[in-house]
Amino acid sequence: MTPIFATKTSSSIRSLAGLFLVWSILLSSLGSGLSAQTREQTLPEPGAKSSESAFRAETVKVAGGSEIVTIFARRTYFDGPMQGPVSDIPMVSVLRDTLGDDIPENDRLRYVWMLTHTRATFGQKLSALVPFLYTRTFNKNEIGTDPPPAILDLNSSDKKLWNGVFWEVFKRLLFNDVGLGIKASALQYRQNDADYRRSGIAAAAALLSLYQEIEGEKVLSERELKDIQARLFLTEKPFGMLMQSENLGRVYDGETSKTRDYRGRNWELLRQYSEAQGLYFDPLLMPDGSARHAMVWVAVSDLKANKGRKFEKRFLNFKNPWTDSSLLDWKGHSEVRWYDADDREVDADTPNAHPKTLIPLALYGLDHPKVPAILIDFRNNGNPKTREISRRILNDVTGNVFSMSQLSGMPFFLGRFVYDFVTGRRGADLNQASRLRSYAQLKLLISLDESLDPEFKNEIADRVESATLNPLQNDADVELRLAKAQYENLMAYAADPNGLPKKIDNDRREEMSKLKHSGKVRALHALGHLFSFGRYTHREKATPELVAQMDTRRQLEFHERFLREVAFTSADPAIDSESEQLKRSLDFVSRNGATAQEKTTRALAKIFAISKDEDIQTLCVTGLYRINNSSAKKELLAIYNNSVLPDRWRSISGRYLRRALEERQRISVRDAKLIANIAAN
Amino acid sequence: MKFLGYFRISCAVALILASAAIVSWAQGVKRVVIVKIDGLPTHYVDRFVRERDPATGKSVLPWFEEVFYRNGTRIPNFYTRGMSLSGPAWGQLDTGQRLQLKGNVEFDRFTLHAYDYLNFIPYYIEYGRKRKADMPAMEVMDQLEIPILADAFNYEKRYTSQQLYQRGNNWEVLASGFVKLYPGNARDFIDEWTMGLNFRHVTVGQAERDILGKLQKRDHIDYFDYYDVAFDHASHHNNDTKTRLDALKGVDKVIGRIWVAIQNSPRADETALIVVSDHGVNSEENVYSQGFNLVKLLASRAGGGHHVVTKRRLMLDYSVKGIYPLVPLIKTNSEDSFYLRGQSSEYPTALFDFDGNERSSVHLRNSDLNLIHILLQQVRDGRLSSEVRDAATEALFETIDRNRAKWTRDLREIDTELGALKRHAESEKGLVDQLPKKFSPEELGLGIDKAAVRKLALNQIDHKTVAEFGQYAATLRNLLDLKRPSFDAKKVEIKDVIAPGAMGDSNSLYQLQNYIAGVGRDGLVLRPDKKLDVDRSFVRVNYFELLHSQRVRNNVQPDVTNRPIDFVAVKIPLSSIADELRPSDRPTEDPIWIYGSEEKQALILVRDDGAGRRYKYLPVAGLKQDDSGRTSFRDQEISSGFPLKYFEDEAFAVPVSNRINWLSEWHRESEWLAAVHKTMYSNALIGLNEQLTSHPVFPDDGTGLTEDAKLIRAFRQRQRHLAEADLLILANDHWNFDVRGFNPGGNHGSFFRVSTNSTFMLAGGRKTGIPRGLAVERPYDSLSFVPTVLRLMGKIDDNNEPNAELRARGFRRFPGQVVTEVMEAAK
Repeated sequence: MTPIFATKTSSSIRSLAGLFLVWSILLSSLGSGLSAQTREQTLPEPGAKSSESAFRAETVKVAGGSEIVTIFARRTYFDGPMQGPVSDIPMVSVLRDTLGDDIPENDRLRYVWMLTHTRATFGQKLSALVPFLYTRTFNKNEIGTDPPPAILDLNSSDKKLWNGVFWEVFKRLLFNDVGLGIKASALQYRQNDADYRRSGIAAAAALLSLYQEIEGEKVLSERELKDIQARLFLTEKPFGMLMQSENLGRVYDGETSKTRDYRGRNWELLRQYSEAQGLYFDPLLMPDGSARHAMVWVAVSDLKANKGRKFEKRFLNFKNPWTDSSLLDWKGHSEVRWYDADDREVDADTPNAHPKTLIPLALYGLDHPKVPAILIDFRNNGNPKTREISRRILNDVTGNVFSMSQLSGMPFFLGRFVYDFVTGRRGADLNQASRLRSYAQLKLLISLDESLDPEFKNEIADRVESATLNPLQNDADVELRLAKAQYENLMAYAADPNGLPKKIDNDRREEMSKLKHSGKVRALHALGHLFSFGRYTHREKATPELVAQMDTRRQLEFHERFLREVAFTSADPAIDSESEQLKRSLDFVSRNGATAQEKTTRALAKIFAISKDEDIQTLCVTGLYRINNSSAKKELLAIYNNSVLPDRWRSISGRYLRRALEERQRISVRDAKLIANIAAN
Repeated sequence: MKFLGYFRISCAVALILASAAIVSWAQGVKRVVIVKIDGLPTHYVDRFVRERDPATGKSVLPWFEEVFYRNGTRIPNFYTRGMSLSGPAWGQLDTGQRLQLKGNVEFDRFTLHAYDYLNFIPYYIEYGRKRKADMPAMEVMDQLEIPILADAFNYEKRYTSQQLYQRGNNWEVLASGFVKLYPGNARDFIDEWTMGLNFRHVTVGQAERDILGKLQKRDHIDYFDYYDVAFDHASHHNNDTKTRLDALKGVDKVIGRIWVAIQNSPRADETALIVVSDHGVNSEENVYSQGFNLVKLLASRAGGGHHVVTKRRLMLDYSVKGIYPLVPLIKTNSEDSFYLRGQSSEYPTALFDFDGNERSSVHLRNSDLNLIHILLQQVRDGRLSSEVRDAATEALFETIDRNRAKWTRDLREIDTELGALKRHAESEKGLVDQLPKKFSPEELGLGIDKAAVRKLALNQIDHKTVAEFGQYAATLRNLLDLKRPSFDAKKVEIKDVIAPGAMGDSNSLYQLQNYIAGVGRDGLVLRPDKKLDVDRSFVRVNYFELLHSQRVRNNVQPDVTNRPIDFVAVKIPLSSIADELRPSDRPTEDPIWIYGSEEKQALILVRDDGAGRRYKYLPVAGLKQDDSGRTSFRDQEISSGFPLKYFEDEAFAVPVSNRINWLSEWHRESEWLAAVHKTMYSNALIGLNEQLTSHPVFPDDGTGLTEDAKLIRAFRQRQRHLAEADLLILANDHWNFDVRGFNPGGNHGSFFRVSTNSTFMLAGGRKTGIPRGLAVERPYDSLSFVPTVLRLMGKIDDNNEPNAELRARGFRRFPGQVVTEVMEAAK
């Protein structure tokens, strides 16, 4: 097995490295790729796969034309320097609705399950109701036979938005009249539930980003992986669920770039501040050079030399080690490392190497905005937890007890604004969502590790658990066990005709209502759904015609997305775009695009304008004719009226306009008159 | 009279013929669109042009490939001449003249006036108040009478975007840019809002839209430029290839859209599209650039306990004050100051500019001023014994007397020059006051309003300068007026004799090697002869040794050394070293000394005897200057480890067997460039000379000018000299000196090839004659840019002399070499 941290060789590093096993296994096997398999409803066989793959992916067919893609983290057991057996842990499953064919254009990604994420037990729920109870209470021991809860429905819908609005209204109408205890409990529960889901989403995003790093064939395409991650990112945004599909690539690019910015900046901040305070910065390096966590250590020899030295606490966020007598008599973990004359860490047997005994002070998450988030303070467990609680308690007291919000009045608004501004500007690591993400990542890594020095692993794991605020959370070992059980349940659910296949059928029938009803009618359906608390959902009866229409509609959406992306980015498709795919998409729209959206008509008009390829231009004009909306005809009319264009375009567009008028397509009154004149001439 | 008339006619005919001749050499470029991309290295573009997008089968930068690789000419070995930093680098690219602005921020040593060439916000505010017309860099260029490329075109025939060397501003760009943040429908707006509205792109995006529109609808415009810093920003923040590639793809799309707009325009045949960048960037995937805090070092006791002035707020993004956009001088107080504790506001002693971040320019207050200041404090302190006080007073007057001749001369010259500037400012003020305040639409279209504000702004600067220098001169005069016999320390206010904020004269090499930072631990010590023992009485710092000795303990990246500082470079007055040099080694310009360590040093020697510039690299050791100004050193045999590391560099284009010989000889600039440009330090030898040498601001001796005009020119030259720093500190590979925040992605500013290699590519329509598919292998530098563009347009002759029209606009001969391959291929 490749050493986990290529540049570090001491036993202590090996033990720390174990903490990040998944990352390292994954990244050290870059190039060895993945193992992917397709099977018909059979369960994976742990231990039977190549030990060189970091992940194994599996596709399981589901009756009715869907498939579940599951990503397993490949886990290697270590026995000292010897590599031991390998087992696979199911981590993330994604449902892909293929409509039972091989046409990728009509595939829909639907549900994402983070298999470590479970439904809470009654005890956990009760704990979650207790106001100001900021600690984990019980583990979920039995998973039962229920399928796991999906952490995300990728179907872009505004349900979440409306649920949010409905909740706010509900809260304001009812909660002011109930007792403080009930109100605080209910709000506490809701917050815990949201945070728990947020942790699961963060873990899923982290895992998918690791899977994406691996070279080789994948069961999820690059585009699918980006789309899922983008949708996961967008769960944090108020209008994220409304994001149009053609922008998902931009969302993914922006978010990954932002996270890497944070990581690099935090890496450097922590190095500089450790250096300035005479401490040792220890990025937990992956073979590709990236690090999402880092440790800060102090050398025992420096403790005496620097006794009483002034300490700048800012950003490091732990107490002065130079005045801490407990470090002089440290009983916790410590390790010896060897350094050369340039202070570069080397093997112990390197000539002239000198040893230093180091004591861990803190472990940080580097993906936190602006500053590294202290996740473990090895001298004071309460420190990260206090930071974890600080903003939460402020929110809970003001929101849950006093019912104050930003809109409650100017003094509160200003006070909150100033507080948020100053803490944000100065870089306090109090961003709850980001801290949750950092913990989720760290926890994921600990869960999957089997090689870590048991003592140090237990210490880190215990400290992470003790920092957890959420009663709904399970501990790392339990989550791992539950993940396997949840996977089994998911497979059983998929195999049960009344289980997942039925749910997919319901989803499709709901999707069909868009094909059959106008926007106004659908709005009424949505209101019904809202006021029945989700009990009523309008669905159509699946007929062969509607299934065929749904197939076409899905393909059309796929092609519309592609055309919009090209229109947004291209200066001339012949030079900078996939010409053949462009022609395929245009051809599809020109044949089946009657219901294409208005934005697509603008895309077609733009592609027509920037393209010099006559085939592409012809398909654009035909597409504008095919799309049955007034905007398409307006664009066609603009082409007809453009005197700079060659006559043939005027002739073709004129012909199409006349035909559209004859076919009584949707055309504005003004344009219809103009077209009638064309017809008359 | 009749003769005079014939003479005038003859001159006019000659001018017309000369212009016609020049036009006949032109290649038919009548309109240019210049895409200026900050910090774009050619090698990076090249790497991705060759990479295929698996989805499309096309280059991942399809427009670079289409426009410049297939249909144009590129110069892959194009370099910044001087520091790889925007302020100086764009200065050369925009003017085509030798380097005058030496940093993004410059300080005047006498007045503490800060030239901040990057801060747009004060400019926008002053522009809004009609008190400024141009960005500060442009104002300095106007004072130096150096026009930029855009000045070659009438106001109404040019479109320029927001940039460092910016003339005028167009509020419509800002306003339209904001409006365009709304993409046209609510759904798209919600998406954009959710993704984060790109405010940084407001003006850049609008400039692009303007250019695309005007290319097709405004036939009369001959010059467009577009300026974008997105790639530079991405590179600083992030070392991840994907992020930088995304930014680069953005540039590629801009090029595509502009190229398509040109092709669709009526003047496509005679239009050239040019991409140029000011520098590269030292950014490598998986290596974070590490910061080293020089401010902290200078403020420490070991560093001299300086109160340090910067023009960038330290830890800007983490400071509540950081939101204040006007950025005053930031004074970092040193708690370790030896004698100025608590006086950082009045008496800062170090001025520090670190922009680009792989380099830093440092002004230190003159060591003799420190000595005088300390001695004044001491003699005013009643605790000294009379014996020590007398000795200190003697030492004080010895120090003043040592400088008396020079300061008296300086004072006389400054008074004379300021007198001329004052007369000029007052006479101009009369004219400025008479300028109209309202303008007709036609006048606005011709930029007459901006010309008026420009005059006003320059006049106000002149008035301010007169006042600031007057204040400095007054305190210097007070100091010189101190007389030993009548001296009463109690009656002397230090601020009356030592100007607060002033750094005084530049430090000599001796002073930098023996810098007085404070009183020693034992206080003032007397020699047996009862005179002050200057050697033992003061804490001294050798800045070369100090900087070289810096190490860090956290040495965590395999490709990054634990030594943040690579070398320090300073200019040595030729007069102080000429006698030590062999006659065959004597240069005609001040040598540049590069300090790598006590044993590894080099002198860059330059001769310009009218037959072209020649350079020599002289390895030396132990170079030092004594207090009489005499410089000595030991000659060294060239070997590995000397600064710039040419000798051992595999890319040094001289056979290994011949390197000792080659490096011991003088070579022309072009020979040096050809030999070293692909090495790690590339054209650093030429760049260091360009950066540190004082280049004459004015091309002639001012014959025909009034006496006042000549004096003002002398004053401008003095101001440039006063902006020259004492030390140029260069960071080691993957190190930087940023203290404003963190730039782990990468940096520039150094002389590493990775940072100086920049982009110059051209493509044009049928009549432009720009070769297609040509890659010019010969190396060129930024001085070549303007003359190449103007030669393509027929505006300069074969000797780089501007035509009559340009000469009338203030243009002068361009010293750079035209990229002849572009012309030759056409012929």
